Amino acid sequence: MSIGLDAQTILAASVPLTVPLVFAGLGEYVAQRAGTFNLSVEGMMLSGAFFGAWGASASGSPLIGLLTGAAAAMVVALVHGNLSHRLQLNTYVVGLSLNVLVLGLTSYLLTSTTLTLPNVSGTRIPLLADIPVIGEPFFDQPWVVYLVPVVVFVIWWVRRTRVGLELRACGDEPIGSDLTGINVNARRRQALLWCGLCAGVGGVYLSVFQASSFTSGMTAGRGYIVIAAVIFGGWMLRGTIGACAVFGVAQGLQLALPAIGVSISPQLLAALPYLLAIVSLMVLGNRLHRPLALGQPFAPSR
Amino acid sequence: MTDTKFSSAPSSGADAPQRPRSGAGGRGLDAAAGRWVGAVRTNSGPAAEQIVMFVLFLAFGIVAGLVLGALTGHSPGVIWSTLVQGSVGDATSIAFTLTAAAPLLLVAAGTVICMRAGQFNIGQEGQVTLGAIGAGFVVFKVDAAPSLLIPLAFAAALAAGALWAALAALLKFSRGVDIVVTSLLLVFLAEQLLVALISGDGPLHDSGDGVLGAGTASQSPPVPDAAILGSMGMFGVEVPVGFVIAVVVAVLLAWFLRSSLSGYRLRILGQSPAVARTLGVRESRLGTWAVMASGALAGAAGAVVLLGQSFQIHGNFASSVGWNGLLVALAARLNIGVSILLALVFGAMTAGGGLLGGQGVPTDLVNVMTAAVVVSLLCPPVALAALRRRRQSRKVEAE
Repeated sequence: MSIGLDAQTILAASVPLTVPLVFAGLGEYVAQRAGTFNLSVEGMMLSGAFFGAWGASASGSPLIGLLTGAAAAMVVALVHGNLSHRLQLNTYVVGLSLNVLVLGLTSYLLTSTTLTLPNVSGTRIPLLADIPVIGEPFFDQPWVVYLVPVVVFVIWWVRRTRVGLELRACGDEPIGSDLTGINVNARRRQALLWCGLCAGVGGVYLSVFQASSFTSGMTAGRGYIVIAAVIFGGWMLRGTIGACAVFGVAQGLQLALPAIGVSISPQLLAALPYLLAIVSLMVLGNRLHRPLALGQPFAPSR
Repeated sequence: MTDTKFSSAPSSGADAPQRPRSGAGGRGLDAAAGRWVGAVRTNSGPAAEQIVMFVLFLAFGIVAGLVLGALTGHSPGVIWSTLVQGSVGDATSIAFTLTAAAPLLLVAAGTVICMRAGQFNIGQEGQVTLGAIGAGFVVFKVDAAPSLLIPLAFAAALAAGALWAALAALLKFSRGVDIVVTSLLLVFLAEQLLVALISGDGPLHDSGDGVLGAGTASQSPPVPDAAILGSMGMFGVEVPVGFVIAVVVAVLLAWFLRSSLSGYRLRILGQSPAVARTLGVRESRLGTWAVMASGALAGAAGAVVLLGQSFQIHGNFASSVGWNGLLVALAARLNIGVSILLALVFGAMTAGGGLLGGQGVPTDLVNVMTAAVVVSLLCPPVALAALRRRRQSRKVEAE
């Protein structure tokens, strides 16, 4: 087998696994930069996956599924945001219990619904898809995949606006931000909503566009991988995307390596994201661009 | 209002010296979480009000689950009576409830210890897994006398859980990495470690002794009879030994926190690291001990699940005991007495949920219910604070 063919096998397995990570990672990145250490991203993805599948099944249109899924994930974000950034409940507790709630709810609802999902075929981009090795895996995908650069551009662009600056200020200096007239908790809730939107799209991709089905707990810890990716990416945009890509390839290798005939322990590959995140925290520690007030609740003085 | 002092964020300033390395100063995830611990403990109103609120919000969570059942076409009355029947209906059901409550209580008690010391360890699920691995190595691999098997298994479980938790503490106090993050990440490492150990070539894999068709699934052999935790008859109920252990441990820990010197120092550390420093409490030492204690208890819970409930290690054999125990402790607002009560409630729901399937209601409804209970039990402090504010403003108006 040629190296090119092996690379294509690995890429073809990795790209579909990377896409949901990137979507959710782009959301989690924003939430964390605004100061929420958001654990409910797993629940957001799962609710996006289920309600996306439900919407697509009811309407027969993947686009409707995308909208319902994103809306459902934003509901989770709304609940999380209001509980932890309005009522000042501990964000970890809220996040963890929301994850359990969504897992139970989606598994429960799954038993009383029958999902018939429309089949989504890849949208081939002419010319680009004909490039050897990388053409097929990157440019012959369901259309939702091509939203990734759009989302990246939006974040890149918003960073340069007043809103982006305020979001980051809320993550670094909530007290100072409050003094300059920024509504810190409102901005954090908005960041969470964005996170819900992105994670929801990632979830919908999983169920509607990739698997064409929904299984109980189908996100299988991807939300936590995303948290590890934001950490390993050093709380930077390009770092987060890079980390998601690395972790996606690690997942893809679990599928692709047996096909190529190389054997690495699949558990080691599955553990890689968490290992890398811990090691990067250990080695780089304070040199990472961690938002200074990450996870710190902000209660405005009355 | 004493609570705003802790729940608001006075991060920089003379009274909170910046210690970026330990994460114990004003900044960082752990400091923020620790401040919440302080807020939880100071935010107490009159006992009667607290109890009323607790019962009210507990009921609200359960009712939310019943409403969901009703919305999906199942009779709430049937669901409720099935849950009651399956949890406290007869002696067998009660034994089921206690079996399910035991590991939750152990995990919750450990969680209370480390969080009261200001160490926000949320990796109990991983520590439970490690405990089960430790106990598994003893019961499957060690050729000990039958009477020694259970004590040895528990010792191994305690050690494995404590060491896994110690990793997170070590990273916190040597490298300044927040324990919230590392303990969370370690959960998923533990998960993969477990899978590696029980699959194909792993040392805990069930090879099936050459029986045709056996040895293909990723699971451990069944626990030998000598290592199974039995039960003891009390008031006509076969009370599982695991539950007795859990209650004894919880009561001892409640006494330790309330009345012993170390417990006092632990609470000081959680309430205010700055005060603890001036009293000569070393956070790196006491904090590590607290985290290891919680890891050890979670490990013990893993052993209780393995030897008293699942009798075999397979994927998700502990069915999220670590997460649920953590939530029990948090919903009980880090109070061991309330944790015992809530662990029983959760255990009852798990036991009752087993019967739901027979009524055509998916068992997952119970998970929704427990999560709803947790979320709604977080609200009493907010409700109480609002109540107090209203009263105060009324008083002001009256004057």
